[in-house]
This record gives sequence, structure tokens and C-alpha cells, in this order.
Amino acid sequence: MATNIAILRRPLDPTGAWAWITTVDHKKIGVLYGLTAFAFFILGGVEALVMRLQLAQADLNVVSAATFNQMFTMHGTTMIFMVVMPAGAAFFNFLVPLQIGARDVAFPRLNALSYWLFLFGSILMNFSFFTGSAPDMGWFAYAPLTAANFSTSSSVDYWILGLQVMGVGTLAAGFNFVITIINMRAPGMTLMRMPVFTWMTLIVSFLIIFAFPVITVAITLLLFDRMFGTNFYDITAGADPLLWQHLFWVFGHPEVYILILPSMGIVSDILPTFSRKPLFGYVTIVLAGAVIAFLGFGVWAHHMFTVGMGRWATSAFAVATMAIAVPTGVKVFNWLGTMYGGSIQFRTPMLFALGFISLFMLGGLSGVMHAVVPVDLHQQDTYFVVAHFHYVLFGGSIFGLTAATYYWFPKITGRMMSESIGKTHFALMFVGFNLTFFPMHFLGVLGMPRRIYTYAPDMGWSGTNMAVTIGAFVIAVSIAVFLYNMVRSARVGQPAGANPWGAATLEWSIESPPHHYNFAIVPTIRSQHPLWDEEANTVEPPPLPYVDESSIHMPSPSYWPLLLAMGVTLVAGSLLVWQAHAIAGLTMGAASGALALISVYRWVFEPAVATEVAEGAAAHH
Amino acid sequence: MQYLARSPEAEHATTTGLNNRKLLMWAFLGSDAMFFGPLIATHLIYRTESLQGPIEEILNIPVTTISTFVLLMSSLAMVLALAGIQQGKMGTFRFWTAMTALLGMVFIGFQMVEFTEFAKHGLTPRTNLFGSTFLTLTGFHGAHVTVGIIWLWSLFFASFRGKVKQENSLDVEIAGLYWHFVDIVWIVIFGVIYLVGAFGVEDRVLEGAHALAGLGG
Amino acid sequence: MYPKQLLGRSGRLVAVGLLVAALLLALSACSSPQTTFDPKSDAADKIQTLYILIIVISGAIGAAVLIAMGYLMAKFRERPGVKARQIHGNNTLEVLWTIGPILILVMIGVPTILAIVGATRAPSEDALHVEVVAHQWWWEVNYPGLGPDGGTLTTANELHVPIGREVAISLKSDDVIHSFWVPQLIGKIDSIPGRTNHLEPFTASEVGVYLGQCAEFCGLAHALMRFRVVVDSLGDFERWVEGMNTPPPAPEEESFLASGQSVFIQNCSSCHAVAGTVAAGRIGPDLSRFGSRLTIGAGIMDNTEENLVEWITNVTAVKPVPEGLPTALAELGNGKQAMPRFDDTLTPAQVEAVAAYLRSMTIE
Repeated sequence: MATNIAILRRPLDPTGAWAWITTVDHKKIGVLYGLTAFAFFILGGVEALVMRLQLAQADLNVVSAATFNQMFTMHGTTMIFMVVMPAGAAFFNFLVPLQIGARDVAFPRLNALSYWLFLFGSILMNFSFFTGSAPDMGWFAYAPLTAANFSTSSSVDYWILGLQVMGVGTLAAGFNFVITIINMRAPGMTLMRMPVFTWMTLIVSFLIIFAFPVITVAITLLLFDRMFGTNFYDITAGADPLLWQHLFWVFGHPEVYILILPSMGIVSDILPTFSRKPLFGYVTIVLAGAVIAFLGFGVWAHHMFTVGMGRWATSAFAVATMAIAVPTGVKVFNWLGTMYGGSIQFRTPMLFALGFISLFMLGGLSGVMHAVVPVDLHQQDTYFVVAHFHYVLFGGSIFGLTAATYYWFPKITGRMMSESIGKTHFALMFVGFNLTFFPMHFLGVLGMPRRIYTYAPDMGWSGTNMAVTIGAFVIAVSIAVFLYNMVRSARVGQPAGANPWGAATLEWSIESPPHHYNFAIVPTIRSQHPLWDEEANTVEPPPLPYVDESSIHMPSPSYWPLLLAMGVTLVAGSLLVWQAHAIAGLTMGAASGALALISVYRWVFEPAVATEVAEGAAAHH
Repeated sequence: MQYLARSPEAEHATTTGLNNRKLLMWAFLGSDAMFFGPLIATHLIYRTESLQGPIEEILNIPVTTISTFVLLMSSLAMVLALAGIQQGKMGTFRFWTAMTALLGMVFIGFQMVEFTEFAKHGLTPRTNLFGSTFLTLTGFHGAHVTVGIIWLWSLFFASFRGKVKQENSLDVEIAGLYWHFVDIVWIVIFGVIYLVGAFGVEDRVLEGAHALAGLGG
Repeated sequence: MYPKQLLGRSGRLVAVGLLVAALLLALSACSSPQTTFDPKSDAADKIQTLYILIIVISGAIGAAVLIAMGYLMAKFRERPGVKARQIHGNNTLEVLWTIGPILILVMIGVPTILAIVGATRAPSEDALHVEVVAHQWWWEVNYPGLGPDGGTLTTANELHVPIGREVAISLKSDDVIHSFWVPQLIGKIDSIPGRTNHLEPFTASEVGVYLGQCAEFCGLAHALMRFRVVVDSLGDFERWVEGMNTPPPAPEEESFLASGQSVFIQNCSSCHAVAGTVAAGRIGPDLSRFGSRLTIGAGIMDNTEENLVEWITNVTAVKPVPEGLPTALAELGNGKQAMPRFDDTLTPAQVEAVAAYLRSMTIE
């Protein structure tokens, strides 16, 4: 190691910021994902508030049309790729190894790489705000509006390249969690004993590894069109603009399930804890999740009912879409079954879980309405659809993720979140949510299209829009309360202990926060509810044995994931520079490409566990 | 009643007994198949939609048959290389690894000649839809082969530094998985794109369908 | 007290909040000229029937689940001394609530497929054919066979259709994807470049002016890509066609209108056409019989002298154009150009003359 220059010497036992920058610990990476996602949640929320101010009344001029278009494009892109997905990843990271009795994920450094690619990709895309060319073509980026001749600024390029970088990180995370869950389970942790959250993580990871390559192809072809003059989406060369829509939605619809399934898993873990009884129909709920994911690949064209596909294709996709309602309904009914006969404790995580069930169910029902194609020809591209997917993605995903935050915060920080502030948060968010998004159904019925930056006063939409805007600000207040609760509780919250909720799953068997090695001794699991004695209806906390820590070899911290992610992102950035200035772009591309290659090489030849750590620890004892 | 016991012996075993990195390669290949799928589909959709310039009549089937044969043989060489390392025969391993990489390089050479010929006949990615889809698809496949070649040579040279041994033949096995996958993708490309284009398989299927419909009606 | 216990502090907040929300909604819920719930054609009527069916079914399911949930929350809330029953599931129930939804979906699916088949039928023989071509950000409207000598009658941003006669609209696009939607008459279908799409043939059932709007995001001024469909009585429709096909009377020489015409021919005719004059530009909307139009600028302003003067003087003040110079012609993606502002090339008097000239061409 002496040959290394000082700054790149392997960090053996870093502290402070370096401990976070070089970490390969799944729990720290999970926290990084969570904090970053929350920061982007605020950014995406501000973008939403700007839109709501502009639309509060007819003919307002709060922002220009150009800015408004950037706001809705970046709001959608941010909330999907930089908030809900990484927030899900935060919990995958923190919880999955704990729930299956593993010391880390299968590939810890790959895990760090996933996070850094997500962070840098997000920054790259948002950097466009500083160059005045933020993406403005909608998060769906329909061809040919994205072609070089219709979108002349580099806005689309920022979107493609940011997404591409994030997508590589997401794919890596997908591989990592598939293998972690298949291959890193503790003895006795059979698939059908896994917590539902871990099950949904597995399913989502499969969705990622099969759906993300398709968007990768779609945006690569678009990049080639824009930068190298190929013809994939060029109508004048005979291309069909629907190619983009098919590719995009073959990815886009599984993506919807990537966003919602984690929250379904969260709720399936929370409900039993606060009903004090096992999940009703565990097998059915797991299978329903798998069926939803499978069918999710066969319904993409229901986003395209207005493109004129022909009667039989349209009918087939309508029927497939309706079919998805069946496993979804089964899940909802089984959640209600879980409450039946229970002893329900209305703690904050439970309130958000119940909020999830009710709001997600309403979103699902409006989703079935879209499958009725003639009705969809009215609803498509109106505020009815905006209402629908916010019920699913906010009322569903975000409520679920908020429930998860309240539920697992004690495990992550060792401190409880305030119940009273939490309940205020829930009340504000639930009311604000419904005030914002329920009236949008009416706006859709009254014919208000999406993505319009202004409307005429005589359209009869003004009053409803004002209500929506007020609701949006109520949500903003509730998020401020949430933030305050987290910051305050992290500092002065009640100490949590190992299992504050009396929950049944494995992560609650160890200290809060867990040791960096998670489990002192790898446990053997003998039941779906390792911490519950169901007959006696009591919680049996396992004894925490003393362990000689030196016998536990954990992966060592590493710089290379960070540097590789930097290299990859800068290569993407160099394409943007190249468009403005060829030489500068090529120079930057070569330099950052070299950085990436060196990082890969050093990564490959770096042992997962640095020998000094083991030796040092041995010498210590 | 104790539901949770401790198992000190379970420190390093994987659940399935399969190596994590091998599973990772399988997962990656599944994902990579979803990368080539849309590229192949895009090509098939646009196969005859070009408004100008040469399309599939430009494909040279005899020459590509040879290069396909070369790539197939490289898969055989890969099998022999893996057998070599698994039996601890380093010489055999090195010979067949080098053969695999060389055959891969011959294949890439064929591809470069093909692309140059196309360019001479006025077909580039910018010419028409056929050029865009065909060259992007086969170009990405060529990039995959190139990564494989670099990987194989890395194993070859690492073996002289004692980094590739019988005990870690898994490293070679994983490279082999990748190599075979890339080979299979080529077989699909050759069958679906070259042969379908050359022999008008699609047209014949349609003719057959019409004939059947005629019998029925 | 029981309900108070049940609700708790957050519960009361939620209840009060939802009540306020409901009040706000009641205050704001009013109708719109673009509503989907006041159908004025046979096709829109059919959609309405399905719409109500699906609202009733999903509303009933939603209400039932919410009530069940409320009941479970109240009935099984934590009480001292009562322990949860350790139930793992119930196969019969789970099978039932898998089959139940399937049956309901069949009830929805069958009429859906029948409606899809009906909506894609060929128009009847005597249907009126209209071809709409979407542009960034206006609508070109062509009536094949209705023009002079069996040619095409062209107008923009306002469709005239007769009551009681089937109308078959085909959709094309000149640049990006747009979507044609008149909620009171018919559901939307996209205008896609390189393709021709067809709306379900419909027969309007009430004379009137119906609002429509582009529904697919199509770039900067998407929000301002509006239009009108005027449903005329049969007589009015015939008069409109005849009026459109009659060359406008030439303005008296040396008159104010004549000066307007000459300014128009010099400055506007490379982009705009006026049937019966030498102006034959195809880049911008056809302005034949402009005086008979209800609105200007793709349905965003009333057709008044004042608005038209404002429009010609500085179009960028009322409608955003893609980045570029406001006075130089900003180029749109398809090589076409956005309308420039004319306040630096024409005098206010010239602008007024052009406006007066255009508005003078009416249909009696």
C-alpha cells in the first residue's frame, strides 16, 4: 500500500465525512439514499408549488410558459427518479440485510456505486437549471418533440444523460438486491419466511433489471438521434414516433410498480405489528405482488389508448389492465383481513399505513376507470389522470414511505419519533393531500388538460384550482412538520431499544442502531415471525450475546465506487461540453474516461476486506 | 419457546450454495437480453421502412456465415479453456483462452470490414432507418464482443502472474458465461436479421398464411 | 365518550380538515364550457353512459371498502384485556375476493370492448368528412370536396359542422404529436406526424359553439392551442360553405380597407392565405372570411378589432414563441416560422388597416 499516493490510500477506519464518503456499509448507504431523496422531495415539492401558484387562478403570470414547462417536467422526473425510487432504495438498503439475517448486501462496493451514480446523475440533470436549459418536454419525452429540431436547447440532453447515469446505478442496485435476497439469507430464512418488504424488494429488483434496459435503449437511440444524426425517431426519414411511446411505456409501466410495490411491502410489515396478529394470507399477498409485477409488463399500451392502435390491440390492453385490478384488490382485502380480530394500536406508522390503504385503493379504482377505453378518451391527459396517479404515487408510495420512516426511524437512529408531532403531521398531510388531489378529479371531468400553464377565466376551473393550490400548501406545511419531527427526534427522541413496537421480524432482534456488522452471530430462523410467540401472543426478545468483534470480517471502505461514479458522470457531462466545444468535450471525455477506467481497475484488484483491518483488529485484542 | 437461535457456522455460506458473482453474471445476462431485445425489435419494425439508401440487399450472407462460424468456434474454445483451468492444466487454459480471444478478434475484424464496405456503398447510421438500426444493433454487439476480448486477454495475462488458478476457475467460468451469451445473441442477430432479410422468410410465412386462408375460405 | 376516544386528536383534525375541504369543493364545483358531463352528440352520449356505469361501480366499491375499514378500526381498536386473534388467513375468503372482482370486471369489460369496436367503425356513406391537421400551435381544417369546383375548403381553428349529420374527422400532424379533443362532442384522439388517425364518427345533437383544446403536450404554447366547433343548423352550414367559397368583394380603391389589403398582401401573404385573393401562404392559418371567425390566435382571444390589433402589433405579448429573437422570425422545429411582431415594420395605422381589412371579410 505504500506505493499509493497519500490521498488515495485505502481508508481503513475513517471518521466524520470520510466515513460516509468511503462507506460500503448498507446502513450508511441507506441513510445517504434517504437524506438525498428527502432533499429532492423538497426540491420537487417546490416545483409543484410554483405550478400551483401559476394555476391558482386563470390567466396568471407567476412564471412564464417556458418555466412552467420546466417545472412539470422536472417535478415528474424528480419525484419518480430522485425521490420515490431512492427513498425505496433507502429502505431496501437499510432493512433487507437486517430482515434476512445478513451482515451486508452481496456486493457492498457495487452498492456504494449505485448511490453515487444516483446522486451524480441527479445533480447532472438538475445542473441544467444553472445553464437555463432545464428539461421542458415532459417526463415522458415524447418523440418527435424531443428531436433536435423541435427541442433546440440541450434540455433533452441533460435529461437523457442524467437518466442514463442514474439508470446504471439503479440497475446495479437491482442486481445487488436480487442476489442479496436469493443468496445471503441466514439459515432457516426460507423464501416463504421472508418479511413481505423483503419480498417486494426482490420483485422490484427483478422489475428493475428487466425494465431499465428498455429505457436505456430508448434514450440511447434518442441521444444518437440528437447527437449523431441517426434516424430512429425522425419522421422525415420514415420513422414512426410511436416507437418511442412503446419503448418508453414498456419500461414506464413496470416503473409504476417499481414505485408502488415497496410501499405495499412496508404496509404489509406494519399492519401485523400494530394489529398484534400475523398478516392475513401471507402467501396470497406475496403471490399477488408477483402477479402484479408480471402483468405489469403486459399493459404498457394503456398509456396509449388515444394513439389509434386498432380495436383489438386496444381491447387486449384494456382487458389486461383490468386484470391487474384483481391481485391489487386481493392485497387490499387481505390487509383489511389483517385488521380483523386484531388489537389495533393507532400509532403514527399505523396511521400512515391506513392512509396508504384508503388512498391507494381510491387511486386503484380510478385506474380501473382508465381501462374503460371510451371513458379514458375523455380522461387521458386531463387532471383526472393527474388525480389518479397522485392517489397511487403520493397517497400510495409516499404515504407508505412516510409510514416506513416513522416505523423504522427508531431502528435507524436508536430514537423514537414524536408521536404527537407525528399525528399532527399525519392529519395535515392527509387533509392537504385530499384537498389537493381529490378536486383534480373534478377538473378532469370539467375538461381541464394536463400540462397547460394557463387557462381562460370563463372555463369554470378557477375555484377548484384555488382549492387545489391551498391543499398543496397544506401539504407543504405538513412536510415542514415532518422535517421538524425528524430533526428533533434524532436529537432528543426517546431511546428506542431493540424492539420498541413489539414487532415480529428479524431486524428488531438487534440493537438500535445496529452494529456495523448487524448480527453478532448469524441467526438461525425457525418461523415467519422469529420474535413472536403467537400462541402466547407475546414478544420474546432473544438474548444478545457478547461477541468478540475481531472475529467478524466486514468489507472495508473504498474510494473507488465514488471515483468511478464521478468518472462515469463526467463522461456523460463531456458529451454536453462536446456539443458546445468539440476539443474541450473530447479532452474532458478522455480525462473522465481515464478516471473511470482506473477506478474499475483499482476496484477489481482491491480485496473486499483490507488485510490491515483484520490484522490491526487481531493485534488490538 | 425459542424461535430464534444463533448459528455461528453460517458465516460464509450462501443460501443457494452458488457463488454471488456467478449469480450476478446470470442476472446481468438476463438484463442484457432485455437490452438487445428492443434493439432487435426496433430493427425488425424498421426493416423495410427506409425512404432512401441501401437496405438489407447490402448484407453479405456468405461472408457473415464465415464470421458467424468463427464466433461459434470461439465458444467451443472457451469451453476447452474452462475445462483446462478446472483440471489445473494451465497450458491448455492459456492456449484456448488465447484462441477464444483471437477468434473474437477475427470476428470483430469481419465486422469492421463489413461496416467499411457498407460505408463505401453509402450506408452509415445517418443514411436511413436501416442504417441506424442495423449499425446500432450490431455495433452494440461488437462492443460486447470487444469487452469480452479485453476480459479474456486480462485473464490470459493474469494467469502468468499467478492470479488465475485452478482454485479460482470460477473467474474463468463467469467470463465464459458472458462469452457464450454474446455468442448466442449473435446467433439470434444472424438468424433474425441476416437470414430473414436474405431469404424473405417473412414473406414466405405470409404467403403460407394466405394459402391456408384460401383453403379455409 | 366513545367517538371522541376513537378519533383522538389527529382524528378530530382530519375530520375538521375534510369538512373544510368538502365546503371549499362545494363552493368551487361549477360547470365548464369544456365539461365531459354535458354530451351533445350520440358518441358523447355513449361515453357518458359508460362513464356513469364505471363511476357507480367504483364508487360503490370504494365506499364499501372505506366503510369496512372504518368498522374494523372501530371494532378492533386496542382495548385493555382483549388480545388479538392469531388468524393467518382464510382460503375460502381469499378465493371469494379473487373471484368477486373478476366478475365485476367482466361486467365492465364487456361493454368496454363493445364500445371500442363501435368507436372504430367506418363512417356512414353520407358522413361529412373533415381533415384536421395540427400545427404548433394551431389547427388547419380542411373539408375535401366542399371547396370551389369540388376542391378543398380550408379554414383554421374553427370547425363548422351541421347538426344531425354524421361527421368523420381524420387527424394528421405537421410537426409533433397533438391531440384533438372536444369534450362535449367526442373523446380525444392524437394527431401524430406520419399517421392518419380517425375520430369515432359522431352526430351532433344541439346547435351551439363547443370548446376544444389540444390535449397532448406539444411544446411551449400547448396551453394556447385551443379551437371551437360550431354546430350549425343545416341551412346555416350550407350558407357558411357557400360564403367560404365566394371570393370576398374587393375593397373600394383608395379606401382604408384597400390600404389594409395591400399591406396584408405585402407583409402577410407569404404565410397566410385568403381565398379569392393572391394571398396563398400555407405557413400560417388560412384567413379566408376571417371576419366570420369567433376567435383569433387558436381560440385564445375574442375576434375584436382591439384584440386583432394587439395580436398583429406584438404577438409575443399574447402568445409565447420559442426562444429566439422576437422580431426576427423565430424558427419552429419543422423549418416553419412563428409569427413575428410587426410593431417595428408597420405603423399603428397600417396595423389597424390590416385588422379592419381582415375583419371586413365576413359571411352574411
